[in-house]
Amino acid sequence: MSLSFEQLYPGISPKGRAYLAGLAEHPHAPRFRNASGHRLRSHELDEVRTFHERERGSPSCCEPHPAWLDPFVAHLREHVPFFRHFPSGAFADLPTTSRADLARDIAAFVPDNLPTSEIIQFETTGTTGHRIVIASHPKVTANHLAFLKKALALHGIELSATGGHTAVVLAGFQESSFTYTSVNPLHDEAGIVKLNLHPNDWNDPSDRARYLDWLAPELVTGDPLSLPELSHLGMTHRPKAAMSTSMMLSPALRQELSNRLGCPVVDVYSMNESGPIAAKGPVGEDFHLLQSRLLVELLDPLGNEVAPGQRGEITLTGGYNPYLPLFRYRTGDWAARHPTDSRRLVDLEGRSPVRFRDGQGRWLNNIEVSRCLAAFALPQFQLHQDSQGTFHLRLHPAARDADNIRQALETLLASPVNIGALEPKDKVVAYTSDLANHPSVAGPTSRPVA
Amino acid sequence: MTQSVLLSRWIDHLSRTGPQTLEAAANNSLLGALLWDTYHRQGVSLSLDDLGRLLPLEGSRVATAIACRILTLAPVGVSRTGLDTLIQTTLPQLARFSKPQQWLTDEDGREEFVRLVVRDLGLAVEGESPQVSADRLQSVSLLERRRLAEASREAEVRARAVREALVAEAAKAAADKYSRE
Repeated sequence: MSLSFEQLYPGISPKGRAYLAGLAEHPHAPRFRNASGHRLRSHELDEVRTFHERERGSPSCCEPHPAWLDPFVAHLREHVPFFRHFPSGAFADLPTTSRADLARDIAAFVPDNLPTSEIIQFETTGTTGHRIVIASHPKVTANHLAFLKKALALHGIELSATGGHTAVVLAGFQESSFTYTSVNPLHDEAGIVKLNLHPNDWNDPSDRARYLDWLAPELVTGDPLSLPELSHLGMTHRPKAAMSTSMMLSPALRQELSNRLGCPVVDVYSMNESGPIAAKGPVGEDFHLLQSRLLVELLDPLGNEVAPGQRGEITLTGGYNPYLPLFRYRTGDWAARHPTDSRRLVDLEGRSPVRFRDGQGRWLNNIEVSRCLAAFALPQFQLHQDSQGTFHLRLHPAARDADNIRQALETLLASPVNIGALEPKDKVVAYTSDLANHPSVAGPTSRPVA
Repeated sequence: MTQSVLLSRWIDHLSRTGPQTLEAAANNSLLGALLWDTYHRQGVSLSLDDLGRLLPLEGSRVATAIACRILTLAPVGVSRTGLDTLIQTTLPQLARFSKPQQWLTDEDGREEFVRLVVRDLGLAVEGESPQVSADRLQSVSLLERRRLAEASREAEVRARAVREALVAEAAKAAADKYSRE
């Protein structure tokens, strides 16, 4: 049963309604395949406004034991079935949770004091085999924007679009995708458009640039697959910023995109389970934590916090989705804490460490490979070492400089590297190895770029 | 600091419950006097209205009389709230699911009775951590098992409602998102 227009856009003004219609009816518009809306009633809208205000003025969480933690854990024990019989003890001694726990039964993570009538859901895709459904609420999705604004603020950028203009375009580049038009009541019903740049969705591929120029969005969000496509469309409009989420973005690709799009490209580390976690600032490669009520631990495989400067698995507690309270949730992603600033993560990689044995028998961490490849504008790649020790690098069809990439890798790995084509996919496992891993490697040997 | 009690002493005291205690259960004045004494030992003076509220209906009179007997061993300083919970909530529930004979002669029944009293009064069992006491109560208590079974049923009903809500929502239009992950 689909929702009515009034349920999707409670309280929409005649002006907002007209603008919304215009977004879909424009002669160069793509085929929008779905309907969506903010679904916020007036009292919820007030709560969202309050949340945005509070977050804007709050620093990100950086203490090892913030004041909200104990009441949060007590709430979990009282109201969340999964945690009802959790062992007692100090926070740092309690077991961690993982995506597999969510996949087993997401209902066990929904607090029993929240109404089921207002649940919304979305599925996450992944290559781990744990496809999961996330329970959420329209307020949560509206609150997500507060953290994107904080990420933009790192770059001195503020969204200011109002009614009759488009604030955000969410650009995908996939065979098929969920697409829609909407308006944001927090910003005077400015437009939000989620579109797919794949030519399948357009009457004429050249309509893409025309439509985007007409929309003139302040912000474009995408990923290392859709943003390169966007940058080659010939769009003349210059957004205030582009934002890349979901996948790793190499520094070289970010710079290239920034040059082509004529705006900063903000790299955001984000997950469906938690929303935006951290974002890169205008200088350097460090990620700045974004959320004020999300405790980020960096853990070794035994669940102990690693020392500053050492890499550990990013593990989350808290968050802003009351329908999915996270508790010591292992993300599968790894980073180190900045030695002097606990609000910054360094060497963030969307995967567990994999070590490769080079041609001279030395072991290298995949982070060294990432640093080597950082100079190349690679949308996606996959490096695999087979059981004979031979390296195979598969590159996305849009990748250039294959010869230079091979040369750089062969120098690093002191071994020949076979280059092949990577079948474009939403998410890939970047580093894998068939070799028995080096004894010092902890955890699983591979992890998708998520 | 939580006061602790020697469980074996309390169980022994319970097992030696005599006919006078059981007779008191049948007599409003005697049972009222037992209750008044029990609260008075803890520094609480009950009014007639209080007594009227506390005097149990038919089902839990024996349990109340037995509880008053073993509470003569309780240290001074237990909370009024704990006593009220025991008399007004726990003992009537216990009486619904088990028979007085079990509390007096059955080994587990005696232990269950005493442990429920100790728990409601916020006391600790000597030599046991709170977790061990809770686990032990679960293993001997019919009441506790029933409560857990009900909680489990409720949890299953709730989980089903959540799953159904998620499925129903999947069929509707989504809410706006600001990222594509």
